[in-house]
Amino acid sequence: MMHRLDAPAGEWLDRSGTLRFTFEGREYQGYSGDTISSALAAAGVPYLARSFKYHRPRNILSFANHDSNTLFQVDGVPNVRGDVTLLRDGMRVSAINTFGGLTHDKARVLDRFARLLPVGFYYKAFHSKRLFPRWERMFRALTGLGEVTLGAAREATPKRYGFCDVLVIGAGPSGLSAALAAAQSGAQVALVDEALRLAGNGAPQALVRAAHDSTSITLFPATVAAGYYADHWVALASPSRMTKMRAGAVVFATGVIEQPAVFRNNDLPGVMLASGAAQLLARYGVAPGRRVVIVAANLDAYVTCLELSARGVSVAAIVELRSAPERDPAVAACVALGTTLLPAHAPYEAIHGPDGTVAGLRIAPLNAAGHLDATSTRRIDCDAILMSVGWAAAAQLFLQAGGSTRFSEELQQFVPQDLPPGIFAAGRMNGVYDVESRLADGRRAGAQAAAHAGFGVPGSAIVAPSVRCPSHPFPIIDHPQAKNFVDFDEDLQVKDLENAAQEGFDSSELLKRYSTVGMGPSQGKHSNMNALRILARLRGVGVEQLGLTTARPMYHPVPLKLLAGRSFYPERRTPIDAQHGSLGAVWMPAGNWRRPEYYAVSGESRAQSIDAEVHAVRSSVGLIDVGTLGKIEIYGPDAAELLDRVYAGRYSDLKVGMTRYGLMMDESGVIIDDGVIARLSEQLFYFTTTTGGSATVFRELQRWNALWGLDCTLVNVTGHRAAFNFAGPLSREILGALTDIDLRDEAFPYLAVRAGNVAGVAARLMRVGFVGELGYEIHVAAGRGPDVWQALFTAGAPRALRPFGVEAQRVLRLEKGHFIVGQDTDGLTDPHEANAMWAVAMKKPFFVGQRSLRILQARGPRQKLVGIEFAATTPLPKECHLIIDKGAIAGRVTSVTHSRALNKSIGLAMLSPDLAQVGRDIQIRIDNGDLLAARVAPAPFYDPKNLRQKVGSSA
Amino acid sequence: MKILVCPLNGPRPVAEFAYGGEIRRSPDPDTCSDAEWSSYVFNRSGAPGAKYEWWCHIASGFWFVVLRDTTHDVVIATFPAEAVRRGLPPP
Amino acid sequence: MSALALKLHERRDRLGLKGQRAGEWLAARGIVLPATPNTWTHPEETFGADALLVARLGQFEFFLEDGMAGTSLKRLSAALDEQPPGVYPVLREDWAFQLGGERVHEVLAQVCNVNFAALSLDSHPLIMTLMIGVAILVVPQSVAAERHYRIWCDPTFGPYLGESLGAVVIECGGSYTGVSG
Repeated sequence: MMHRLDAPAGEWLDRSGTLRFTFEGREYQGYSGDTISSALAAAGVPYLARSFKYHRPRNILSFANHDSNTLFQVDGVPNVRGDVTLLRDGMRVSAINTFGGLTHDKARVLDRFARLLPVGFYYKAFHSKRLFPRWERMFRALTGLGEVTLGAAREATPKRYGFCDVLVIGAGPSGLSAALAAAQSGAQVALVDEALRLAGNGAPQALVRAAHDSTSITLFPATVAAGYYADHWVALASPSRMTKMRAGAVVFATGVIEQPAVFRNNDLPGVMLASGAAQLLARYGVAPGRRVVIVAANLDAYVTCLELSARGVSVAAIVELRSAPERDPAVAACVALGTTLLPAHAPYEAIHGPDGTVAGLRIAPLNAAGHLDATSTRRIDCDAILMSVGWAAAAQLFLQAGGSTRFSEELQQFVPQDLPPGIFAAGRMNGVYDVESRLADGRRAGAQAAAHAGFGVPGSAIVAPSVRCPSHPFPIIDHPQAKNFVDFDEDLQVKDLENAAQEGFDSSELLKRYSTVGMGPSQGKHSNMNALRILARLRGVGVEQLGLTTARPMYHPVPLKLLAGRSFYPERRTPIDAQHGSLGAVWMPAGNWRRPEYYAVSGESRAQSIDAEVHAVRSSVGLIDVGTLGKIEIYGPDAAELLDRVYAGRYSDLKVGMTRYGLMMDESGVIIDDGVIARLSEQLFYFTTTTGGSATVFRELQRWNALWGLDCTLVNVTGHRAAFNFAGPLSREILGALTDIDLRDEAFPYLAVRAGNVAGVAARLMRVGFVGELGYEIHVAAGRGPDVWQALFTAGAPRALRPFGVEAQRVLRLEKGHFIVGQDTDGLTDPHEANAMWAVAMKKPFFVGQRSLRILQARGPRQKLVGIEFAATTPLPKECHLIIDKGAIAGRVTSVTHSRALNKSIGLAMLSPDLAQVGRDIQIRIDNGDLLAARVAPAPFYDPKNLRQKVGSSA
Repeated sequence: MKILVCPLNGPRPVAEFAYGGEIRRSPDPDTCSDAEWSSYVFNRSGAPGAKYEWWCHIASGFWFVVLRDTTHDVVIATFPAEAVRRGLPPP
Repeated sequence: MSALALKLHERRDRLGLKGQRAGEWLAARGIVLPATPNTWTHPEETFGADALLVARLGQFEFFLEDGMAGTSLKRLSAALDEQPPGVYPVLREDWAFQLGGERVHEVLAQVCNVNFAALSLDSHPLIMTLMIGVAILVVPQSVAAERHYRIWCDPTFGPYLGESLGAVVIECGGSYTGVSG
């Protein structure tokens, strides 16, 4: 059982302060500085987790923030990483993936039915569509990780852009020396490490201090470099924030990850990676057990043995997979201590006691060929088994960065082969294992990275890799009763991979997807290497022929809150925003603007308010903020020429002081935008675009202008001008009192534009008819917008003025049969189909879309935009409901409303041309599946001769 | 995120730019066949290689031309927009 | 170091000019022009009450802001009424902010991908970039050896930019003084 020892020098605890916390409802104590995992280990808690599939009891495996055994639910937060999360007083911690608690997990029965859960289970069981929903429900419940608290409060987590010349990932000996070397060259350095403290991981303490003291090195402890993006952009995930670090060069000193031995019951609580045990011992004073067996295949095993012995922990035996350990003082010291050394032996199976934790290890001798003799096994009693059989390069991020690796047979490890510009590797990842060499390799990489970023000169000394092999080529032991786990996250045994390969999934990519090896929370950090070895042996090829899979970013799990950041939503508000608010505006989003949908009046329903707004425009006067329209000025001798080329209509013959509708197409002849174009002078036009199109239309116009090189200049004043539509039969009379412009029909006819003052503010007025009444669009400087709005509002109030919103405007324009680009038209609609050929000057020498339109005209329309009307008021179809003819789709409804002015319900529809004759009956499929009758009707519905907007002064 | 070097604004992350598509020569609309025109409008060459592209720096509204090797996503050169009018050398 | 603060700038007259002859027209009126795009000139570094800031946004594009008590722009605007050829006035109703003080670069690092801390002010740089999704114009200035940033944006993005930036400033221990409109 794990337990706490006396304080050693250099540990990470402050034993003067105890912290109380609960795990699965029971109270425990830890010290200040403990992580959740170390405190639970020190308390001797037998299990921390249940496994993903079989619900087997589990405890610490890596203590390296990799495996899923130490994920916890903490104070309502799921999947908290216990290895690196500091313990807090009062923490409530529980296990994940249990039914009825960790100890009495009802799902543990699954362990006995493992044969019913073969590899590829998902694909096999879910093959039947009929049974799929049942299986899905059951397995979503049985497997999984923590529980999301849906009611949790939103945390706005700041993100930050970071900049450095050299980014060093990993603060072990090579990383530290790389950082110091780069800093010495004059570079600004960021040094990142997953560990809670940058303690050097075996580097000389003088280097650790130098890194802490250097003003050129910014330290990022407890930080995972989780994703690499183009041009050295690296996502750094720290506990409370994401840093988007832009580096001039990157040094990967990411080191190696210890790999488990694969033998029966290698997942029992008490079986750990030796490196994890060593860290628990050194940093947190926790012993892995009272009687430890070490499974060894490298020198690290012996170093760990000495460390344990020095702290009074008894090592029962070292089970050495190799025929003999290397000659090394550490080995000699172990022997001198009287440690039982069993060369050429393999762990055959771990044995559990009554409580399910390790009680012994059964070992078997290996013959000269390395084959195991299962007939002469023997048991060694122990309460902990440490595995020290090999390492795998932590190359995930390096591969993302575009680096390539090769498999070194000598080292039994993938090592970097090709390095993209600005990418450097150092240390154990390069196969350089002893501390002095790692320091030298770090210095080399640091200097080279700094030179790449423009500081100093690169050194050239190449550091030779280790001459000793740190990893066993095949630390995998068969057992007839299996339960020899390759992937602890996903509960995958050797036979699962064998079966997968046998079923044909025998490339590393296919094996991964079919068996899910490497797809759990550890993302293959402790399983991919062994899985590759198994697959290579099954196929009779070398590991180098299989290759590594590249993990996508983020290769290490990152809390969603770090990715979400603060969540900025750029929102535009017109200058009249505050007034809308005080008038009771109900907001709706329109592009990136917020606009009043309608103005709520107490005692009125939404429908009543909209109806009253419509009625005000039809009977007296209404005021709408149209400041969201795109507003563009174009100056210069070639201004008209540019407009002639990009719009379908002709503007070179537009008289100064007049406006003309503008229809814009793309090169395929599809309508993309519309607006009103006003000629203010010979060389100055002012025009509007749709609300949604302003930015893109302006950008596209600039591109055409740059391409053609015309002598004209475009200015986007969308946000710099406020605009209102003041419309209704009383508009002229009320506006007349506020302006110096002569509004009489003969002086200011329909479709004219005039400049003057409104309420003492310089304004441009356009007499337009979008809503089908006498009306004026008034454009003023944004800063003066509120004053002008207020003056119009005040002047109109005694005459039954209502401000009206987007919804009323939609009704009004629909009564007039005007289409809205993007609502009544779609990405295929040409002007012919939208009945907008009147706005197209086909005779012009050129305009965008003209050539395509010729082809489309010859072909004839595939659909027609038509008016429709309904016999009854209810039910009404919704926009996008389909029109059905002879059982087939013949069109769709694009707009629909009830018109009080017409006392009927009306709409627009895109319809097959053969049905598009006025008077034709059509049928619309509505939500409940019924077919609703409608009839094709002439549009405009209201005032078809447009007399009301053209009304003269005497009216 | 990729860095694009804008001739006006210098090196900036690509999120500051809008992509305007590959620069392609339009056939003469008055003399080309319908098929030629349709091909120009609808067909794009997805084959990787060196391509001229339109890019716009959003904050300044500055359009320019990028010659980019789409195989390796490497910018070979940038040009002012006028270069399109004067005629770009073959990529 | 002064305390971190974001201020919505007092109303000042602003004007944009575009066109092939905009530069020569301004120069003919005695205005000192920045030689290259993305730089600015100012008669005095301290931005006095009646001094005109002239920013060059492109070869043929300028942005001018008058001092508090300035009259220069009123004179220029009047002259523009004659509609000189090749000189086109641009309505500038921008919102303007001033950001400065302690931890100013911590604030900027959270909202913009330009490395302002590393910027040299020797050549009077002007930066057009995106800040939390909004196109902005930034003029960094050094006042009493302290970095201050003047930031202009489209007025319809002003409330969003002010509120969002203000929240970050306040979180970093600073203050936000804004007015609506």
